[in-house]
Amino acid sequence: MAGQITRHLKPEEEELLQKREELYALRATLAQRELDLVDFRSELSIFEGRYLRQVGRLYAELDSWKARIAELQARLHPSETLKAEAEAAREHARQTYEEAHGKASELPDFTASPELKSLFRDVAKQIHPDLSKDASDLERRTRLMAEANRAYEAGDAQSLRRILDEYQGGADAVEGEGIGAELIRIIRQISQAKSRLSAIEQELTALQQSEIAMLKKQAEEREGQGGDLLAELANSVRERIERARKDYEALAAREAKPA
Amino acid sequence: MRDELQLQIVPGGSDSLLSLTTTRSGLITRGRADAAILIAHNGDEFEASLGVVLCDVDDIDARDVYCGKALLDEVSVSPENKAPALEFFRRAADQGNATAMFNIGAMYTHGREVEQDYIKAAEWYLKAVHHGHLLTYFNVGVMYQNGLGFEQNYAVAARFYRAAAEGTPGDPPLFDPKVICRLDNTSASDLAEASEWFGRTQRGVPAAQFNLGGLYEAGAGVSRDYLSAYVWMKLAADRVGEAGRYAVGRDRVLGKMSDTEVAQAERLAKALGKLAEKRNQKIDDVMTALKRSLEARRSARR
Repeated sequence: MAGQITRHLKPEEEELLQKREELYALRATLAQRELDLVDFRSELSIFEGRYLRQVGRLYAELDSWKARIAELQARLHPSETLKAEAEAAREHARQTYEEAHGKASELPDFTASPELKSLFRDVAKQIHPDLSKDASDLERRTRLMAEANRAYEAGDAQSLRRILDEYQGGADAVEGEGIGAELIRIIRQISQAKSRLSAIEQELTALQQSEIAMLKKQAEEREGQGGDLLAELANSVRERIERARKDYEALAAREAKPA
Repeated sequence: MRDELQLQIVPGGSDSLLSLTTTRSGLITRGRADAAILIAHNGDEFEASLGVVLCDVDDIDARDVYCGKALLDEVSVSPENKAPALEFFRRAADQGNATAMFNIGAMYTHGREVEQDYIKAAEWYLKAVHHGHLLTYFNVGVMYQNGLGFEQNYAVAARFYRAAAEGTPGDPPLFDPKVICRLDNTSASDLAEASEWFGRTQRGVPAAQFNLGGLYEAGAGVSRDYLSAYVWMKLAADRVGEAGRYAVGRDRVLGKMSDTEVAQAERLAKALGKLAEKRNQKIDDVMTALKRSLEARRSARR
């Protein structure tokens, strides 16, 4: 418009405006990717919990039968080798038991609601550690972000709201920094946000290549074919348990009446 | 410019219950290998028939008299002939005949003429393996893979398949087939080794080659390695023909590969083709030489 009076921005002011916009956009992206990451991780945790309950515990049972067989064999034919094998089998069974019955196996099944997702995005946008201004701010943000991740994985919307309140309550007003100082701060924040973004990408890739993610993918493919991979796996391990049990009983009978 | 704000933070990472950094990953890997095999078996992607084969017991007359021939032809034998089957093979086995040992194992595997008993089958197979009977290596591999007679163990299954696939009973396999990828610019000794290895695989058991490929594809007992899976499935398919399921398996593996791996696979296929050409050339040469010497002897007699 011809008649409008416009103040010409100084180069640093223009730069500051641009950088503010860039940071604003980055915040949104960062919050979204942070959500993707926590979502994927929680999906995997939930799947792993299901796997451990449905299949892992059966492996533990199988290993325990194997250990009993090995121990019986060591009693039937006493020798150092068999004794060592029996001990190794018992130790292995103990490990499998711990893995299959640990905390990870008790994760409840839950699907994050859209509200929870958007709440998490808000939290991430506000308190992301990579947007911090100074060391003490960083510390506070880091702690809150970790809490937010835990709350999300537990499906705990209330905690997410509290975290948001707590941060905003403590947020100090923007102190009167000069353009130069603000520009430097924003540039630094942008670079931190970018490096966090690339770290998130790396972590997502690593997660995608993890064994549990691959297993989950196999299960999804199986579902597409109308199958239930975990149930099928469980059945095949059950058959093996049955065979091991029979082997054990045959051996036990031999122990009862030696030839 | 770096300062204290550049700390790398992974929110929540260390609190996660995921298996990635724990010992629990062993339990996941185990399930994953079992799952891959399970899926493959449902799709019939493994060769599982423990074929009752061969009756090349030396005494041909005896073979026909006793029911070796009946086993071979899958003709049912009359009840009075039942005992002799086992008896006949047992006698041959006592004299160290590995095929007879294999046949007894196969009888127990299939419950043919005797009551099915995987443990007894396993015992007889192990005797035949001890005598270097190649096909038995394949059968023992199948039994390990499926936990029949032996405790299920993919790694051991892979070792047995490998012996049958390479046609080298007993010898520890040393050659890495992937060397063939680089045959175009490789040393003469590599080439000689590759060509020797290739010759052996041509006597190996195709079903074992195919199953070994399957274990590589599933990452069961061996680290997942599509290129190795491809090599073994290709070798099997080349022996058995394009129409069979070995070729289907080979192409399925190709489909799972990254672009770099596909490029490697193509190089590999070309190099294998060259090795085959060379070998056929050699066989032709030998045949020509044989024919010549026969002719010479015939004309000398005249």
